[in-house]
Amino acid sequence: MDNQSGQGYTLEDEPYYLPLADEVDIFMAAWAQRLPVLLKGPTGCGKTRFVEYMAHKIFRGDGADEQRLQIENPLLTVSCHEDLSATDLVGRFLLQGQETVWQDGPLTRSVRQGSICYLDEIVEARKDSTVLIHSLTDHRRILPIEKKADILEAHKNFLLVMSYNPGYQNILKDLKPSTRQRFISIEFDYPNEEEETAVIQHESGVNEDCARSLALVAIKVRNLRHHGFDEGVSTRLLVYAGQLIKSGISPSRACDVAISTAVTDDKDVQQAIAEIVKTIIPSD
Amino acid sequence: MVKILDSGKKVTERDNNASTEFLLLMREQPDVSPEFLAQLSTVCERMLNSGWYGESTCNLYVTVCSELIDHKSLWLLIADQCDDFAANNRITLEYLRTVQAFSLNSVTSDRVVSLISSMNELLTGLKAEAPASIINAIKTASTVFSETGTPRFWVAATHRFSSESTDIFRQFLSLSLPYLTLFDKNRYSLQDGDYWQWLTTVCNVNANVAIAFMEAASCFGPELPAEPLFIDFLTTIAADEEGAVQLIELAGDNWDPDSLQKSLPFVIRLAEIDSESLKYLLILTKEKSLDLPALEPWLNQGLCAASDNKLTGRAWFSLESLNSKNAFKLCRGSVHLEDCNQLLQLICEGLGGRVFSVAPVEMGSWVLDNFSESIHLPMEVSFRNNYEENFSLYRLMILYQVAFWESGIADFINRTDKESIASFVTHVENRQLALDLVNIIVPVYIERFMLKRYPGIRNDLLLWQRYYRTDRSWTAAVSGIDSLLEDSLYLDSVEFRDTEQRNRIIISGLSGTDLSITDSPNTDPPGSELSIADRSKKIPENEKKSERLYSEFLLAEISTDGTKLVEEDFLSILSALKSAYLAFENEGSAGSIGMIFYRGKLAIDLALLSVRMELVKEEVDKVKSDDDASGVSDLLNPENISVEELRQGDLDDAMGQFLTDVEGKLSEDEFDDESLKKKAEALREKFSIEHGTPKKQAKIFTYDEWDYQIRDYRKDWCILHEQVLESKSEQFVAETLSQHSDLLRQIRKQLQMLKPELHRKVRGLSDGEDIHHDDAIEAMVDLRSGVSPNENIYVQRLKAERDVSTLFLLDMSASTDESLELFKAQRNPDANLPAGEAVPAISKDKKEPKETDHIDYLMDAYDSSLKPSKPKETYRIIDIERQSVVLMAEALEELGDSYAISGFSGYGRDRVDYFQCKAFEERYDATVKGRIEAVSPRQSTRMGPSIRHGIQQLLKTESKVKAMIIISDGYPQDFDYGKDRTSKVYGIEDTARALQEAKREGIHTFCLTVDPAGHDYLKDMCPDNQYMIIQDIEELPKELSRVYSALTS
Repeated sequence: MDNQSGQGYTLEDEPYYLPLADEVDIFMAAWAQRLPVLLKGPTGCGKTRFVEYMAHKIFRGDGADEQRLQIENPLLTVSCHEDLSATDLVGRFLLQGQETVWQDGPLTRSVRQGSICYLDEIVEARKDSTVLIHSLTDHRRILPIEKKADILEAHKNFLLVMSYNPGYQNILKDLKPSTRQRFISIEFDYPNEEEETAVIQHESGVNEDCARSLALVAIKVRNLRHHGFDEGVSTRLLVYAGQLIKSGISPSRACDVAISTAVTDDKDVQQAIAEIVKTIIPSD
Repeated sequence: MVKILDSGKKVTERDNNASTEFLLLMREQPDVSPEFLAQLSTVCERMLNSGWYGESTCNLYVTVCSELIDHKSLWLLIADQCDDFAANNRITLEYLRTVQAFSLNSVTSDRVVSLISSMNELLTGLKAEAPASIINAIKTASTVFSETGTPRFWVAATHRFSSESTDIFRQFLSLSLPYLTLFDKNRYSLQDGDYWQWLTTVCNVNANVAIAFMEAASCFGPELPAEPLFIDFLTTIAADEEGAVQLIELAGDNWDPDSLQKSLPFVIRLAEIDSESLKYLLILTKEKSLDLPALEPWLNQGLCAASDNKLTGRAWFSLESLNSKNAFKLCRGSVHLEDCNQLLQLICEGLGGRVFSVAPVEMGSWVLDNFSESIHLPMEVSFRNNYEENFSLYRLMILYQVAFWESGIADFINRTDKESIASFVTHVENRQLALDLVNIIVPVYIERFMLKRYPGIRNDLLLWQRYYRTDRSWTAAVSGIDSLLEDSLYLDSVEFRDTEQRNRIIISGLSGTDLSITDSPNTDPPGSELSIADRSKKIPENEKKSERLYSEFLLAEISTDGTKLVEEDFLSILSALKSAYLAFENEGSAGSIGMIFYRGKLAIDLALLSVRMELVKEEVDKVKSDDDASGVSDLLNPENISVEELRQGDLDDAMGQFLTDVEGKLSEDEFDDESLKKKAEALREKFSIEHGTPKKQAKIFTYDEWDYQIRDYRKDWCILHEQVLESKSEQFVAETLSQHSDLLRQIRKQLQMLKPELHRKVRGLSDGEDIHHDDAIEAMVDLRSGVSPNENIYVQRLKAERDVSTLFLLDMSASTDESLELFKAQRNPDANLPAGEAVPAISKDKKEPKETDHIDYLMDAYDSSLKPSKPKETYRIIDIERQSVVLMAEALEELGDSYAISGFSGYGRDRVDYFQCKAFEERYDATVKGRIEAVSPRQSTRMGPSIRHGIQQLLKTESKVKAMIIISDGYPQDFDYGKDRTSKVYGIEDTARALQEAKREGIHTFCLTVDPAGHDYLKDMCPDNQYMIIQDIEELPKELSRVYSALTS
């Protein structure tokens, strides 16, 4: 994952990912048919990592052909937000010096070169952007660029992947059925205690006991998720905690900054988490 | 007649053998001079002639003299004294008797001399007193003198007190001896004199106080009066007699001398500042058994408060003010369930994985819930002296109960199969023993599970195990069960693994010495008589048994699969139980062993019952299948049914069943504050007739109130009842709309202007979705002409939102019943007067109900609201208020803003009424319209709590813009809104404070009033002058909409 060339994400090394079920097989099968994939799950449970892993597998792995190996950035990620409009995805005209230049958006680039375009948290984006997806995700696989009055056909290696967090649903922000039903959905969730322990151990470098107690803390804290942090604590945060511990911060303090103050601002909830941590991790 | 003297002087005409003999005897004495003898005989003669008791006096004198044969010099002194009191023989007799007693009882002659001279001294000072007093004094003196080494101090005090009233003098005398017993000369190197001198000092200020002190003296202990500060204290407070007497009594009752001594400087300072406060403090000390020296920070803060303002000080020391309560809790380090209830619930939910109810328990026994419905926690923990450690008990208890279920032990307890605890208990002889053992052994396993799965709890567990271990008295003769219980509290402690070390610990405990640890059991540790090996032979059998059990079972590892215990562990619990039973079964019943509080008691009643039912069923089945009918008749034969079958503990179980059921119910319901409930009940009874009784149960909230005099909040001072009004008809609303259609249109137009467009284009951005042509052309032109172009030429569509919530608070006080006519009539003649000069206050005061009148008033109000709607001229203020609100509601529905309508009134701080017409999330439907109809004048106007409740409601909406519009007709008023009923200041200050709180929370407030005298107080009450006085009341609706627009745009 070398960034120094300034060319972006090149995915040279295989990212670590612990499969929890058959998601790898399903994705590979989807890829074989170039079916768009929707990843559902709470934040920090491994969706993005999974996509990286699959991108690496497809574009750098054993089955990768010449064409794929050559693509510099096999994975283009777009983090969607409220003000993300179609122009942001597709591209726009910019004034550069004396000229008016067309700039490709990330989606267009991906479609053109044949890589995976990953739209993270697609529900957040504005409605006009989700409509773009429709034409890309049915059998046509075309991307209309209005401003240029152009219709772009997708490269054969192009794949559209989206992520979606069901916890943020409300009436205003939800995927229309017509959009949803263009994707196959893989559900993600936080791993169970054993698996989470392994992940934490690998990612942060702490020993097994420590990882295990962090995993147990996570389970207990997730019981409190209805008190304002609907997701519970993500695996990512646990890894952060582990990393802090590895650098020498005391476990209770690491949990403090990585878990309780990170997930909630409610003083009571923070203290409750601190108390729970006290029962699990012996204080020094 | 007997001629006594040779000189021919006759002594007396009367017959007196005793004195004659005596004098004759004296004549024989060599050291008796004739002059002396003459004096003696004169004395005797005088005595004989002194009155009715002359003879006995003389006899007694003579006897005394013979006893004092070595102190002839005293004889005359004594005689002189008798002379002084010659008028009253009784005194003389008493005196002489006392002297006689002295001479008989004293060990040394010096002593006799000193006693007599003290007595004489005493009497010299008392000459002017009444005879009764003198006699009393003499009697007291005789006892006192025998107790004290240097009586003259007491004598001096007596003289002092004798100059007070007879009553006081008498009291002094009667209290002297008890007071004297305070001085234990062996312990304190004080002079007796000091005590009396101090007493005299106090007496100089005020004799009654001195007496009160003497009475209470025994409570103060002997050291205290020795403390010079204490006397300063007494003299300071003695200035106010009544207060001082009260204080002394209180202090005597409530203060243990040690802590009093330590806190004396503080007490004195407080007494100097305000003795009332000191009284409150003393009462509080008794109530809560305070350890004053430990509460120093709180005391000092209170001192500052009191020296600043006496009222604040009093509120401080009676724990009424908010700051005081907080500081107090901080000092004590005690943890209260009610304060951290929310936090504890969160912890329970987090650890347990589901929502639990927290069931408060008093100290003592509580039953561990087998069905995971609630978690039991104590109401208060103050065993340790700091907050952290006290709180850790909560943590421990929550985890213990969670572990009980999580480990699967709860299910195991409920099992009824052959390999279950219930079945074991049912089949043994000594059921009580078995139950006790269950309560010892099972917790051990729970704790081991806890340690394994939640290693962080280790320190807490050790702390509290140690606490409960040392809490029990560890005597040499310990029953077997107790020792096993003791063992269970050493869980996993390194000390216990080594049995040798354990023996040493036992021995050192028994002998009270601290033995050093040596490895060899045969060498004698220094200072001991027996070797350890010998001693261990002496350890009672019980300890050995429990030790064996302990090492066999209780120290064994449990194997869990990570999240709960496995079958193997349950079986080992059972076998531990069985072995323990076998080991101790011959002990007989253990009685009730101590309960370790944090473990609670395990309840296996249900399981036992099921097991027994099974057995009974089996029996019945057996009988059924038995062809021989004799089986049945056997069963039915009364001879075969014997009471012996009733096992020990059977009845208990039956009762236990009930209790656990009831307990479970009770603990859930009792969660509300007890006193709140009682108050609410009392009030409900008092108000037997309710105006428009709401059908639903009112929700109760407590709010603090700001007391400007003590400059602090009174915590939970007001109780607010939130109720929903009963919906009546929509008639009022319909009428209003039809009558005021014009007004409605105007309002609608006004509010519609507030409605924003959904998206608006913003240009001149440095980035955007599109290029704005005009800006781009400008830029190009600039470029061509050599000027640097503006690069912000993009345009973006941004969403504009309107996120407003408004609460309309209507004053529903009695004064709104005022009709418009009357109001105008009153107002108009005074229209030219400057503000502040009254609209005659009649209307308001008249309507304000006195406590006794309220029921009549209610009846009137009730009747009046039943009347059909009146023609326009007789509209009341409340009607205008309602109309305005109706019109606003209609208009707001179109605008789409969120709003709520509520009314407030109430009577007294214990019953503030908050009537909800429309909640924020409710729709403006027929029910709501009907409720507006039900808005009617009630009672007082206590604005503060209503505003605070309104704040809470607004905060819940989480809107960007929050506004509160209060529509009222006068100033805040209630019969106990401030101690002085006629003063408005308290109410205004509290309301002002509440509005400030609203402002702090980001809520815009606005007060609309029709009271022309409003300027006086509204200026101070409303922050930023956010108020308006409506001149013409019919303008209210229009003004309201204007205000609304201003507030929310």
